[in-house]
Parts: sequence; C-alpha cells; structure tokens
Amino acid sequence: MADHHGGHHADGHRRQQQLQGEAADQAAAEIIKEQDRLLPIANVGRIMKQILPPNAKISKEAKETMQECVSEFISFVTGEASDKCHKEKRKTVNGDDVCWAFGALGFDDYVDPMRRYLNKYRELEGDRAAAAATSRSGAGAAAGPDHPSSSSSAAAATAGHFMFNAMDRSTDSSRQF
Amino acid sequence: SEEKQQRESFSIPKSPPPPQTLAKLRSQQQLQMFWAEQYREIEATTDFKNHNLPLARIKKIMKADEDVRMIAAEAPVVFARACEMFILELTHRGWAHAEENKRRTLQKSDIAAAIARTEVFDFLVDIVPRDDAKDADAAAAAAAAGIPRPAAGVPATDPLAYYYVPQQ
Repeated sequence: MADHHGGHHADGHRRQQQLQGEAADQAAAEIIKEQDRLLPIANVGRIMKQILPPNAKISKEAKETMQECVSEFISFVTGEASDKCHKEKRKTVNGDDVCWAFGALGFDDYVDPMRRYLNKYRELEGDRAAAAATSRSGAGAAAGPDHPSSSSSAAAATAGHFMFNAMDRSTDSSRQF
Repeated sequence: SEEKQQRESFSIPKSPPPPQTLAKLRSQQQLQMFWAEQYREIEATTDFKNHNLPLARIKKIMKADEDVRMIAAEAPVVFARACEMFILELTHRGWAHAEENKRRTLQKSDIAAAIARTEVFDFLVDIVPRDDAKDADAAAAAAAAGIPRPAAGVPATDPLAYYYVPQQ
C-alpha cells in the first residue's frame, strides 16, 4: 500500500518536473524570440561610438534604448513599404519600396543616400551576375560545340543571344532557306 | 539728409542671438555636415558583402509583420545601411543634449530628449515615454538658464533644498 502511494508520489513528482522543464523551455524560447526582435547590442554600440568623441561613454541603458528604437524603425518603415506592395498587388517588398517608405514617412534625408546606395548595390550585383554568366559560357565553350553545357546556354539566353544545340540544327542539305 | 545720417549713426546695434539659438544653429550645421558625409561614404562604398548589422536579424524583424510575404534580397541590405544612419543620427542628436548638460556619458534621457525634439521621431514615443523626454528637456533648460534645482538626496518639496548652479 505504501509502495502504491510512493509510486503515485514519484509519478506526480516526475510530472511536476516535466511541467517545470516545459515552462523553462517556453521561457527560454520567449527570451530567444525577444532577442531576435532586436539587433545585437554590440553592433549597435559599435556604430554609436563611431560618431562620438573618443573620450565619450555610452550607458548600457542608452544602448538598449537604441536597440529598441532601431527595431521600431525597421518595423515602421517595413509596414509602410508592405502597404504599398499590398495596394499594388505585389508580394515582394524590394529596395524601391523601402526607399519610397522613407520619403512617405518623412525621413527625407534618407531618401537620396539610400537610393544611391541601392543603385550602386544593383550595379554591382548586375556586374557580378554578368561575370558569372561569362565564366559559365567560357566553361561551355571548353566543352566543345557538339556538347554545349546547359549552364552556358542559360547564360547566353540571359545575355540575349540565340543559341542552337546540335540537335536543333538541321542536317538536311535539301532544305532551302 | 543730415538728420538721416545722424539717426543712422545713433542706431542701436543688434544684440547677439542668445546662446540657445547659437547652439541650435551649430547643431543644424553639424547635421548638414553629417548628411553630406553620409552621402560621400555611400559614394565611396564598394563592399556590399560585409555589413555592420546582421542581415538575417533585419529580415527577422521585417518578417515579424504578418502582412509581409516575401522580401527581396536587396531590402535588408538597404535597411542595414539605413539603420546605421539612423543610429548615427539619433546618437548625434542625443550627444548634443548630453553636451548641453555638460556630460561626457550618453544616457537614455539624452536619446529621449533627441526623440522629443525631432518631429520625424514621433513614432518612437511609445519606446521612450513623453514624460522622460520632457523631464530631460526641462532639466537641460533649467541648467542652461541657471535655475536652481534640488540638492541630491533632498525632496524637491523642501523649500531649502535648492542651490544655484554656477555658470561655467
């Protein structure tokens, strides 16, 4: 009988521990979520230091406040950019939407520098894509004309060229063009 | 004409603007220089691979909005630079407030004051309550005007708790 009660007690204790463990996991998950909501404090502090004189100090509270402010800034601008996409029946928020949102929300000083930054980024990405396409087409040429690689044909297509595979080319000499 | 000349010679010279106005003008000039410098830095940018803020975290914050479906790769890149500029601007404005109070440590109250003084930062009022910002600004104004303030550790209601801050 005592054993029976003892068994119940042990089960109850185990269950309690399990619940406590779950609660701890949940709390940990919430902490992680809370941290994910903010940008890293070290990065924020490093940026803040850039504009202050060398002898200046920053309180931890000021850094934490700045973290909150930056997250709010991202959410605020994203919301406006997202609304624009929704109105225009588009699913993807792009750089132009973000730049437009800066202006719409009164961040006039941000508009020109960020548009310039976006254009520079796009130019660089375009150059990188073109370079990748060129390197792929180079690899295709090495494979020989009879066995063109699929990547080289894709690269050529993106470059706006027509490319015919050996199979596409007619070998019938009687055909008149 | 002689009378006119006499009147001109006795014209009262214009008094110099108050120090607060000068400080405001200086702050505006510094901000103009700040934005010009930001544009110069952007013009000189060639590295878009390394950022001072993590793109994945920025994307997570953007995704927190349920209405956001998809995000182009360029959007977090733009935000990384914009957030950097935002941090720099708000720190710059906060530091101006710290200097007004003759402090070398940037505090939460300085950021609160910067938010309260700048219209475009109105969206941040929930993060830094208005009262904190008002208190910070009131303290700064009092210090600038040399108005007495309560001595440390003594309740403000005590009529003998005030001392004058000497002008430096």
